[in-house]
Amino acid sequence: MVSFKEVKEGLFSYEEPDKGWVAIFTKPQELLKAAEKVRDAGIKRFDCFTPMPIHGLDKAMGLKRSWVPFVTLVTGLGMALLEFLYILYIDVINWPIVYGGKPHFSFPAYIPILFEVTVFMGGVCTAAAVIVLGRLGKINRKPIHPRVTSDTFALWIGDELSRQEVEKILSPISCEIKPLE
Amino acid sequence: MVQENALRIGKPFAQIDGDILRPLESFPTKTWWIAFLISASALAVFVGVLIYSFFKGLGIFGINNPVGWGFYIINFVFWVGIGHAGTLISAILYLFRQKWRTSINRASEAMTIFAVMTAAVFPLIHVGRPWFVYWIFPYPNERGPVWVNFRSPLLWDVFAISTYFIISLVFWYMGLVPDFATMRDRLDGFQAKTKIGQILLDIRRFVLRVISLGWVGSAKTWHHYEKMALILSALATPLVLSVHTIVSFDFATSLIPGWHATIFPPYFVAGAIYSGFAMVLTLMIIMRQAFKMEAYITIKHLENMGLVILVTGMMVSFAYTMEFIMAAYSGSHNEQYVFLNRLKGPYAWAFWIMFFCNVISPHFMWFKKLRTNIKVLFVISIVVNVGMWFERFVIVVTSLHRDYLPSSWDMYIPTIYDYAMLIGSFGLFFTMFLLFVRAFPSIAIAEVKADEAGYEMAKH
Amino acid sequence: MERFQIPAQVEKVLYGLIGVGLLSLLLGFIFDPHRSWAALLVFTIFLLLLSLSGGFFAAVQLVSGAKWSVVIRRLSEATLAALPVVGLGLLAIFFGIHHLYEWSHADTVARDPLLQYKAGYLNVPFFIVRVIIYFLLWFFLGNYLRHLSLQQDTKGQDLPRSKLIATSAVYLIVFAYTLALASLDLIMSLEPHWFTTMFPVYVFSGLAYSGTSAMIILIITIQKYGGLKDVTEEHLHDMGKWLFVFTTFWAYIAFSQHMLIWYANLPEETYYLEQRLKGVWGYFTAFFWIFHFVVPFAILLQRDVKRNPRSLIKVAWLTLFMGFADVVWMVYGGLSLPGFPLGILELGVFAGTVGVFGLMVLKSFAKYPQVPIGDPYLEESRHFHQPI
Repeated sequence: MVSFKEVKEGLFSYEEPDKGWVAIFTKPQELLKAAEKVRDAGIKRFDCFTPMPIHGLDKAMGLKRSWVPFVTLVTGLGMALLEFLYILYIDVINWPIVYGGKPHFSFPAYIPILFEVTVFMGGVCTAAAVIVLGRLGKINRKPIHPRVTSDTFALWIGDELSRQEVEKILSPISCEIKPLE
Repeated sequence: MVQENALRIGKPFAQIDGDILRPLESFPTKTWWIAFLISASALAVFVGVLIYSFFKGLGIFGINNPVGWGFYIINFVFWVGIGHAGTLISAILYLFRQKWRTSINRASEAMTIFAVMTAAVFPLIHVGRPWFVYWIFPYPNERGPVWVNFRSPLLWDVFAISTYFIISLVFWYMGLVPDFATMRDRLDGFQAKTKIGQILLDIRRFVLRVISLGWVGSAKTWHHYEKMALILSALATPLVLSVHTIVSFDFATSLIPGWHATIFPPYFVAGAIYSGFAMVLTLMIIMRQAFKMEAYITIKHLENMGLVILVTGMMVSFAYTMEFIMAAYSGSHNEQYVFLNRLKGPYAWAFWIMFFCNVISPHFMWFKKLRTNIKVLFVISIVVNVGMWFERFVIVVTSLHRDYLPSSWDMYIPTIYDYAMLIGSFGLFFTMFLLFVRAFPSIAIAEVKADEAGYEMAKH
Repeated sequence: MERFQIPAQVEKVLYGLIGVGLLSLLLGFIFDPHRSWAALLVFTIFLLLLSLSGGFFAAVQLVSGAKWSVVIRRLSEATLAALPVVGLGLLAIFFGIHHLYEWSHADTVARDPLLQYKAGYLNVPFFIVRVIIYFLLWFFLGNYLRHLSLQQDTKGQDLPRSKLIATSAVYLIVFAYTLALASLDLIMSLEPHWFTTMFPVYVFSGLAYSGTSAMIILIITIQKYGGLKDVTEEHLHDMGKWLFVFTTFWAYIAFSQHMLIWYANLPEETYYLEQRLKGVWGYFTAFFWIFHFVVPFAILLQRDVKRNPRSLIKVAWLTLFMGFADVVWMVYGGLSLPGFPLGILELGVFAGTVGVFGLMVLKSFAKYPQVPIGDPYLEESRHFHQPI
């Protein structure tokens, strides 16, 4: 079983960069190497900012498995169950009417609807989960570097380190290091 | 390796932004204005006939007693089918790891949404009293304990279409968020020359800030986001199959020969993908010519779509063949009559148009020369859609106009309003699509860049 | 490239399974010939589905240009080697035609106007001719495809891939139509009044389902004895995904067929379902839905199961057996046999099918290099990784 702390960390992994250092890269493979080094150096608070998803970056950063699939499963099946009970109430208890010679409880005929609500709830909640878990929705947030959504890759280190220490961790990867203001 | 290199764009990331966002940041071209005016006037016809029909009732259309489902249902099935290719490209090809989908998935998802919206108009009006259309939802009400019929395929349609629309919208919007962030950050470098320009720019900045949800490209957000893309694809794949399956149930649960066929679900799905891909092909050819996106939508993409058309076309032919074989084998008089009536009856012309367009025309795609020729592809894509429209015409009209009781046989003659609605629906669809290419990045920037970064990293 | 050696132990087990199958059929013919003829038909059809599935899989992979599957293409082609035994089974069916097919009795036909109407199609000589044509097409076209693919080993790049692709495309088209017609002739005509358009697709979904299970079992078994070293857990993961896809696909097709028949309730169609839902068959059908779809679906949803050979092979055995039960469901339902449809006889026949199929395929697989060494995509397939 996972502990509560693990769940909480896994859920809200994103942190707003507040202080520390920013390293700027121009190539994704450099960022990938840098992330591995930072992870291996045991840095606790760090994050990468990229214009596109980088394959393998989550492993390089040592991120935990995402909780999003769990949300999908629970909400989807939960909604299907609720819908099933609702239909049961309507068709069998509240308004039992025979149509087309079918029994009041016609399970095969409910399957399409149950499937649709599963997908509906699962899909919408998955997107909502990304907004919540990825800490989106703060519209006044500024990117860490103005071109980080275009062609620049940035790595933020939030631990209390001096410039030399940061340089030591990241060497020999070529990058521009500057303090975060 | 060969294919990946063929798909690689090989431009700097910043230039990709510029190429894709150019149509959004400049004044529309003349071609765009002409196309927009034509489709907007078709849309005006659509709205006009719609309003007229509210005052006069459904009597202005050609539907009559045996043929109670006419053009409206044909158009509905046609447009829902068109939508399917978008989800196929964005979800199923994603699961099949087809890299060539990246540059066409955004526009085809948009196409899905607009096609479903166009389709949804028809049943809403066909209910007769569209102002009571909310009655189709099963909510507790004061009309006595009156509930919807959960055993009716028409209600399944309500669930299927609304789920499909909303999930496609969510999928599409979530895909757009990183691109909105790119657009938002690009605006920092812009300066207005006039006061009005400044106000417009400020509005634009604010709107983009809101819809990009404060996206800053954190790897931790990407981590959840990528998982979501996989899950939404895995959900959308059965969803897209279920939608046309349920549309086919509208027909197949009935007792009418020609409608009651158990093969309908997969057959309708194949047909939907077939016509949808043809529509994507039409749109992509226009888009790449109009916005000079040859580097992103290459001949390879078009060729692959041609191949999908070939494969799904043969599936559709297989289903036709099975229907005829089973009718011949069945020994059931009514079943056989329906199919003979399709071949030789008063609507045989529709059948033979369908046969030529759907069964014969895709076979041109066997030849590499033809499927890499843009003109041929463009013609085939339109021919296929004509064929698919006639397929629905054949299914709906020929099955209904002569069923069990010869005393109630009749002909279905569409009126001018039917044709106006058909043409108008294209107006609605194309107007929305043209607005889309002006307002949103019509190629998924982040995804294209992710593929480019992948090729780049594979080199090292 | 070293060839695979069938371990003596495996061979013994397979011969043992064949023995069990033969013994159960023999005893069956002594005690209950009617049921045994049906069991023989089940054996033939199930073996046919399994051996055609490999050809189908290889052809689809070639046509779509898939690269990950190159390392297992040889194995999938090897399943075609079981076709001769299918031919023997079909030959035996020709002798038992009167025990199985109602329409082959002149007196029944004389009493039944519908069967008289269908007699132009459903009569013994024409039936035999058709089945022989299908078989020859499967046999020769399949062997030609395999032969062409094997040529790649020596010719390498000189054999144009486009030729392989074109042959595969023709194979697939022929496969689709012959399988559809064969399912009509061999299975649907067991209940000669009944017809439904979905049926060929239903049979195909069963083919893909059992075929993928058999492939997974073969891969993992061969790997256990030191063969197919190039296949990694990444490939198994993809095979697991295919099994998942076909489980869902089967459920989709089966649900559409059953629900539409149930919903429309047409007398000429609905009795098919009614026969399979009353009495002990109701339990069988329920059992069938749970273990054919629900259980494998829930298990295969998990990523770790698909990547672990030990757990994946267990699921594959379940699904292979359920694929067999599906054939029993289709064949036995119309014959009004007493008792639960899965008895000792059927279990014995299942064992026999597994034995024959395993032996024929492994023997043929051992004859040639284990992977298509001349294929340009081989290296890429070896280093294949799941991107997500």
